[in-house]
Amino acid sequence: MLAGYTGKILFVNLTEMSVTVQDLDEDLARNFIGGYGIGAKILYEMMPVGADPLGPENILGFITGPCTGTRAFFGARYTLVHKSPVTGGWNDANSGGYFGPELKKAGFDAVFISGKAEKPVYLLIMDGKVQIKEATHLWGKDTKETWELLKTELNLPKLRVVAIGPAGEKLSLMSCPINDGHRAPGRGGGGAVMGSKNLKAIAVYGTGKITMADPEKVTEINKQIAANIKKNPGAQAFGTLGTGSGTAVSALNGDSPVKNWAGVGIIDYGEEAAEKLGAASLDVHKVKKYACFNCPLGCGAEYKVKSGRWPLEATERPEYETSCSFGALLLNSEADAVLMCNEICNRYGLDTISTGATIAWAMECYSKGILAREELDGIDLTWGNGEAIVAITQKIADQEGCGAVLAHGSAYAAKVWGKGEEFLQTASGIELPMHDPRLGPGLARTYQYDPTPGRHVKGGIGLAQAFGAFPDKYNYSNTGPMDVAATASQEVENCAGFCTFMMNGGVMDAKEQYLAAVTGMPFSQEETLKTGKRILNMRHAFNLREGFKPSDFTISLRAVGKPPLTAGPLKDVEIDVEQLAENFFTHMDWDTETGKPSLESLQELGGLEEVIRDLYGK
Amino acid sequence: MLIKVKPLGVAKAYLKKDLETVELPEGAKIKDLLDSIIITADNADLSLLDVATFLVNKEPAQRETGLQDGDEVIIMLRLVGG
Repeated sequence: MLAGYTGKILFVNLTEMSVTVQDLDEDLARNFIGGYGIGAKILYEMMPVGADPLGPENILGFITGPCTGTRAFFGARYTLVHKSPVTGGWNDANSGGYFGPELKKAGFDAVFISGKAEKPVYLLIMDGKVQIKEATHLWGKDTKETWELLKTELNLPKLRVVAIGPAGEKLSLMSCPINDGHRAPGRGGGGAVMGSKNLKAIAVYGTGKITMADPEKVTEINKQIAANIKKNPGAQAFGTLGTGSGTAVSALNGDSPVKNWAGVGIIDYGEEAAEKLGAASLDVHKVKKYACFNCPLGCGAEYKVKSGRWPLEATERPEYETSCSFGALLLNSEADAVLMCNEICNRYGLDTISTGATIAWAMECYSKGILAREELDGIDLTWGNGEAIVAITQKIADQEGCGAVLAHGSAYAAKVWGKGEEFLQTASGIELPMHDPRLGPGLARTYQYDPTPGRHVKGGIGLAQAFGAFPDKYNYSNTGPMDVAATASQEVENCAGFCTFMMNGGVMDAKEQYLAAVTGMPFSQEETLKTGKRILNMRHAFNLREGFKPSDFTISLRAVGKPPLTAGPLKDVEIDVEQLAENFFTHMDWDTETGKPSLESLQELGGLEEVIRDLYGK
Repeated sequence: MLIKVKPLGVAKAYLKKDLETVELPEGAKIKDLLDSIIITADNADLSLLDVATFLVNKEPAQRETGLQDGDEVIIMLRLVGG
């Protein structure tokens, strides 16, 4: 087996209460690397077409990459995969912290769970041994309580746990598992999928060692990255202030959306409000720094809110997306409200992006008289009202009153209540993340047409356009080659187990160098392009087999500048997302009407035999 | 002419401290303003400044944008969040 991998995959069927261990096939590892690459391949093979996302046939996978848990910097991630109850299609979301590395130390590259337990259970994985254990006593507990209870009852202080909170138990479509108390594969309703299986948690503990083919080379790359970080103030800001180091600026330069995507930060929100939610302001509550496994930046921090409306004995620094979705998106500059909402979401197991964005939708409906105060249980949900934001977040978490509807997201609420659809800011039904395509237009293609819609950690040219020197970024001709290459690159980075903030390391081919040094398999940038396209095709094929075609993938019009903003840094920007998509599909050799990849492209990429069989009968 | 300067966030790390106004000759552009306020050091990586966002009186501007007496220039670096 290649180095870096444990070589074992765990399959659990909760209906049968059975556990099977299989060897990781080396070709599978070479072709699909890890993470959602391996996940897409296995779910495509094992999940029946048309499976109910909240039924026993859905398969939930927790998958590491070969670099996860090694000494390679930024290698802390695991990926959650399943069919999404939000979009009805493919879903993946990844998370840092320590769960992924611990899973490998416990002996497994991945865990796939199917079926449904008769009553609440959790999985206990310890040094290669697996038990399905009763979790009735944990049901109803929040994610932090669950972690603490399991550590205590198992007498394992270093136990790592990924768990759902009450939101997942109640099948909220915005729910997600939480690991390490505050890290989350947040998007796409993974918490509800766990809840639908009566799976409360996975607890892992291991003492195994993860091998590397060339540890000296890994050390050499690490040193280069550490040196680069030292001379880069932007990277250092991530280390000292976290991802929120950019929050204040993002609200003003057009990066983060404002007022449910209709506002202009520099005008509607303002510098003073932005600075109040900037990381420097929030860090008055900092107790100490927190870093994911083997990260040279350490963008996290532990907080204590000593006084005020919502004192918190122990909480965490909100991440950029959270500060934006509960901040500028709601015209909210009350930092304590953001901290409290972050804590509620972490404890109940809610995606902060979708929760904040759903509240933004409700706020706009309220401001326009579409939702009445009594429909919101008497909450005065005016723009920027911190008290109201916390109150409605708690209702969503408890699924009480209006929260029982809002807990399933803005698109669900608009449908159930039969109004407000025109104010949804979603891609294929999931709330958009906090980087605005009007600043990085390629994000529009990524958000709308990636097989996992509405994600800022999916590849493409958008983020580079938003943060790089692309003077001609609003020219939509010939974007295909670069868009495909950037997407493929991100596919490999994600699947190897790396964090996107690897970009701060300043080594352009770091993932290729690390992959080769960790696994022992030569890995060139040409290989990245081919492997990334293979993985992308696999996720895409999952959706095609479910009956999706390109026209089923949608994005709300504000995000693409229709109509354009009339002031500020994004004034008059209107994105030709149709052209961006055509360029991308054409360069991927996908039919623009049906989405079907050409036979030749699939054969050339290799490793996609099932897809060829299903699409071409060969 | 006097130009008001407002660097936000991490941009402050690249620019001279306690800047409020800068005197520039008539006809100066944003690039001239930058040249006069950047901290230069042997080991400084100034690449982030290449992709800074500029607003003049809250309107989008470029390095080549000309300045007028009394203009307020906001300088922001584009930093990717989480």
